[in-house]
Amino acid sequence: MKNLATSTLYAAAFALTPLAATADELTTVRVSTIPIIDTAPLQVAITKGFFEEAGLKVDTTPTAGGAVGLPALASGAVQFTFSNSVSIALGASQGLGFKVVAAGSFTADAAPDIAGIVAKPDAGIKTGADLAGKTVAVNTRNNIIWLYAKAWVDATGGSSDDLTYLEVPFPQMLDAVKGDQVDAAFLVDPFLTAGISAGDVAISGWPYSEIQPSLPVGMYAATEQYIAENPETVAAFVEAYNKGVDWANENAGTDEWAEIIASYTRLTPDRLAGLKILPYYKVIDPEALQPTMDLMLKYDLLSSEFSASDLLHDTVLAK
Amino acid sequence: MTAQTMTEPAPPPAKPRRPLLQSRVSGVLLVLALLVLWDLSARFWVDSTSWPTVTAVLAALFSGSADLFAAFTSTISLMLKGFVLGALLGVAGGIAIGLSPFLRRAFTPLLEFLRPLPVPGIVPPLILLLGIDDAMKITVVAFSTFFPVLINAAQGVRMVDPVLIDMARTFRHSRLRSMWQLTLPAALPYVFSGLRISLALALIVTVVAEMIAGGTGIGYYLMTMQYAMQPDRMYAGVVLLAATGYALNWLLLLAERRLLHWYSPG
Repeated sequence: MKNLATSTLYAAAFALTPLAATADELTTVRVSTIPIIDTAPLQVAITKGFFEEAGLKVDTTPTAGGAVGLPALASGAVQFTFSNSVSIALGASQGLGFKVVAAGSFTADAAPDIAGIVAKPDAGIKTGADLAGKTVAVNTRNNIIWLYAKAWVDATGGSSDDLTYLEVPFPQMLDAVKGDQVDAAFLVDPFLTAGISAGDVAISGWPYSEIQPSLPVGMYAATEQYIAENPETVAAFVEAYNKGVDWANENAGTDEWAEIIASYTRLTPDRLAGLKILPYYKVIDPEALQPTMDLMLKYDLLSSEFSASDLLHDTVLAK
Repeated sequence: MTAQTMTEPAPPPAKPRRPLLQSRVSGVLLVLALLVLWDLSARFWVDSTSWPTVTAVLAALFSGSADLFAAFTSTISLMLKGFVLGALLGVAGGIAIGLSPFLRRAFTPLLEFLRPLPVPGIVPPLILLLGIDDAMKITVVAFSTFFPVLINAAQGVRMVDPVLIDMARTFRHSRLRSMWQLTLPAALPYVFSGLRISLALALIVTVVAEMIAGGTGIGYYLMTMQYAMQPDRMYAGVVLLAATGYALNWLLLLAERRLLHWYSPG
């Protein structure tokens, strides 16, 4: 009981007081992450000591599904959260004060991409029109996967209202397609590569890159309040993270890179070898993010226009 | 010669050999049969990357033992903190409610309202209040442990034979003394059955909480291995989780037999 009370107090104090940094003491920041290849630069920056060089100690709290990252950010339990553009914008539009401080992951500039809609090889599903009246698996409704599944159906001759979107976690999607519980699934790596190379499923389309090449998808957010109270910490975090971006881009595919990725994703070497590796970036162009905001408005995730530049903090914009 | 010597007492009859299917062995046999069925299904019928063979799971149990040990240590310590907290509050609350009709009337609607709340439903608001660390998880575990213990303890207190209480009063035992020597021991069997329900719940809830807000523990391990496409490791965790639940229940039964040696149900 005493433990509980003290840790509650501690959590409250932690959330309220800005962290004081001294010259010889590292400032601790907590980052909510998802253990996927998209967060490689962050893990690189931790492993290679880039954060410590910048005076930061980074504690990560990974969540496999990623569902609690943004609530934890809003509550002050973590200072930075890796999430997708749609969820961050949704929170920001609800007045939670989320701002993107660093870039995370982008999709490919052309097929093959890191995420795609798949169906059984003999199903003959090649466009959104082929999906009329059918069921497609998405990992969560009202998120970026769901949004781009709808946009792709409309963009390829179908009607996004004509199909059912069923929530299926990524690890179960291949079985759901094979077992005919869904007709198609919006799948991400490593499941996408595994399913295609096993011949269980075939690609119907690449919603991200077909709608917009090099789409900014994953990114790191902080709250406006935290940014205002800790500008140096935020700047140091982004600088060290960006060093991780450079390192990940230069060393992609090397043994050391593979070791770092395997240590937090727990992917086996053979799965890692099959993965597509895309470049990481340090800036997000508001023009590249705006179409996502516009799609959110079109599909009723937002009730009014939302400007991408309002979501992006200086640290993630081109200097 | 007396009649007694004439009718020599027959040697104690040899323990009747129970047919195999009526002995304890049958339970073990069923488990083994199901494991064989699992293994065969993974080899011959089910074509899925998420359904490993039993041998692969056993291999993962050994190769991943260091990870699994760390994960289980963290999970069980978290579970025990929540369980003890919830159980203490449950026993105290149950006795109070059992003894006082006023408290019973006052609290029953609230308790019945809170009791069915599912854990995934209360985690997001708790994150806002308590963060994503142990404080939140312990609270969730304590919350789900609390109700079965409370309800059973209250029931136990009310089941005390009123004649005994009257008798204690006749002998001028203080209220505190009859509470300590009569009410509590009489309620103990009920408390224990509440504890056993809660213990199973506490393990489940700890794992669910770790799956939602992760980082450590077996819940996080299961999710990570699922996303890393290592189902053999995931099922190794599941098998160990089942064994842990079995062992915990067994330990509590053992404690119950020690403490309640005077009590035989039925």
